[in-house]
Amino acid sequence: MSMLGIASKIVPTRLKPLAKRLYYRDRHPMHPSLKRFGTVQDLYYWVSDGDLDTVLQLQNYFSAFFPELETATTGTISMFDPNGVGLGSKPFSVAHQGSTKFRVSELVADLQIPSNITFGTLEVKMAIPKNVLEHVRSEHALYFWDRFYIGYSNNKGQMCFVHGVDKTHIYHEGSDQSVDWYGGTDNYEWAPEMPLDIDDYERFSVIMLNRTASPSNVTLTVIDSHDESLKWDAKIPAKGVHRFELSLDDTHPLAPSELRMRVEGMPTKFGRPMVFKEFRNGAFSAMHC
Amino acid sequence: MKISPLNLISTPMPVLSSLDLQLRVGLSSEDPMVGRHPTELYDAYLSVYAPEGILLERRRLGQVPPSRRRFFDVSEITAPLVSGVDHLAVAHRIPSRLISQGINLEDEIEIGEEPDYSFFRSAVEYSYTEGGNGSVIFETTPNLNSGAPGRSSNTITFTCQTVLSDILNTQIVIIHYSVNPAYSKIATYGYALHSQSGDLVASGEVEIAPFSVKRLDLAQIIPQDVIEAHRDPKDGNSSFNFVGYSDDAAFPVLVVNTAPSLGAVSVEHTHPPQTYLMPWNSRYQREAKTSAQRAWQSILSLGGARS
Repeated sequence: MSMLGIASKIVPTRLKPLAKRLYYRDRHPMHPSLKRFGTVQDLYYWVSDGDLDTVLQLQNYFSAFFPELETATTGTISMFDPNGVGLGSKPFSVAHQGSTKFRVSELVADLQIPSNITFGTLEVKMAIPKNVLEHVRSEHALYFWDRFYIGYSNNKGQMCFVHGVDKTHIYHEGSDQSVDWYGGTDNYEWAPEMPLDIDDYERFSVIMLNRTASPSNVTLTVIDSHDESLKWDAKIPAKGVHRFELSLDDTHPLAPSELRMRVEGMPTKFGRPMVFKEFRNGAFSAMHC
Repeated sequence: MKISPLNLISTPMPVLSSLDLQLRVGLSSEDPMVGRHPTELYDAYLSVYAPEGILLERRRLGQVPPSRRRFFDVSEITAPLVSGVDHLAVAHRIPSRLISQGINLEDEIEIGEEPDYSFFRSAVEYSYTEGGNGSVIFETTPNLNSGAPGRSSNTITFTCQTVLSDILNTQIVIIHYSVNPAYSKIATYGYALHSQSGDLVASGEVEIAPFSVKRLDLAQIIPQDVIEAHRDPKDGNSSFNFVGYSDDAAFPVLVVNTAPSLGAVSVEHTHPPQTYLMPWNSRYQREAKTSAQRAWQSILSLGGARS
């Protein structure tokens, strides 16, 4: 545990705000690399396999904060394979109060991504509009953390959305170079609250992203109400993704109702899993745990 | 500190009977972040409110043993109380060791240091009968609409999670809940929808009673010819950008995307806007939110956003 973590456990609750102010007196309270202005972006999971597709409906969120300003802006979508290797990028522009839409299947074709790559990670970087930057200049420092909702669709025409959960890169205003949010991989645990009735699903996928610059060894454990368990291990490359794909057969002989999951070796504190739920009637949905 | 045990860990849940959606809640007896609280036995309760916001019943659901997950069928309990109309239900988890001390659930009890039950969320799962399910996980934020002196409650919502087609519709579901049972404010929520090119296509205002929910049916709110005009020829979907605001109350907002003909539903919450902002000084988060609310109010009272 870090010094800060130890301190947070021993400092009384009422003194924590003061302790935090003292600790961060000359630094940005959210990350020491945040200096003046910029954005913080996250990695998202994409899939495009002929059944499921990924849909980006990128809302100009600056317009929501500053509706009185002209906030038209530009951005870039960067695609990566499951190992975190870059596949190409696509620029876009977005109107004030507007949005722009991309289907990843079309990006895959556009960027000539090999057809055997059917999933991976992506990052969207939307630039701070000029007028917004002028408007906030009087602040000592301000970064915008884009937590957009990524969409997924299936070939029956259904769609679902999932929000962003974590951070991956810092972009300082005026620079295209990214700075890693995380210094290295860590070893967190997560105990998703959702009960898992595995026989409800044709396929249940647990998706883990590694937002750090180092590989990470992650273990998924599924435990039944008799405390019997099964484990699956994966090594997730830096900035890559791994899918644990489960079905009723995969979890045999566990009792199929009210299973619980446990993730060990989670590389970042809030980089918790996303689950994809595919049903026998063709419906699907996704959620973050 | 003193707190009602009902407010230690809770989740306000819209019961969407008018959409024929079944609701289950999944509860855990473990700290999702592992390590802050040892697993222990919890008692689970359900508060059921009438559509107008009156508490109809508070019922003990049962227990969640240590290191376990349990589903509880909320619709089964609420259907005999409220039929065919949307309303609010709240799931509560209380460590059973507190219950065994013979406390009154409504009374505030002294629990020493403020407990960190952040991220103790409930899995809120909607489904069509014989269909798939969609779920989302969230909790009541501390002091939600408490009305305590010095605490203001307000909302900015924005999301792109809208998709309308021959089979899909989007419902924006606004939850008006408070940790204070005496809370009585009727709050106003204004909203605007813009096209992908940034044109205002619809706006409005709704009043929401305390301890109730309000559902905005986008297929009803956006004129049909506008939906048609913005249809993506490649997938048949029309999408719009949603912004909502209130300076009366803090509203958790869910977006429910339904495809009843497919037996399919998905749901996601929206982020509090302040989490998009990482200022040097945290006061800027409050200032930016308040300033945005005022700007939206002013713009929409004049008939539309600037273009």
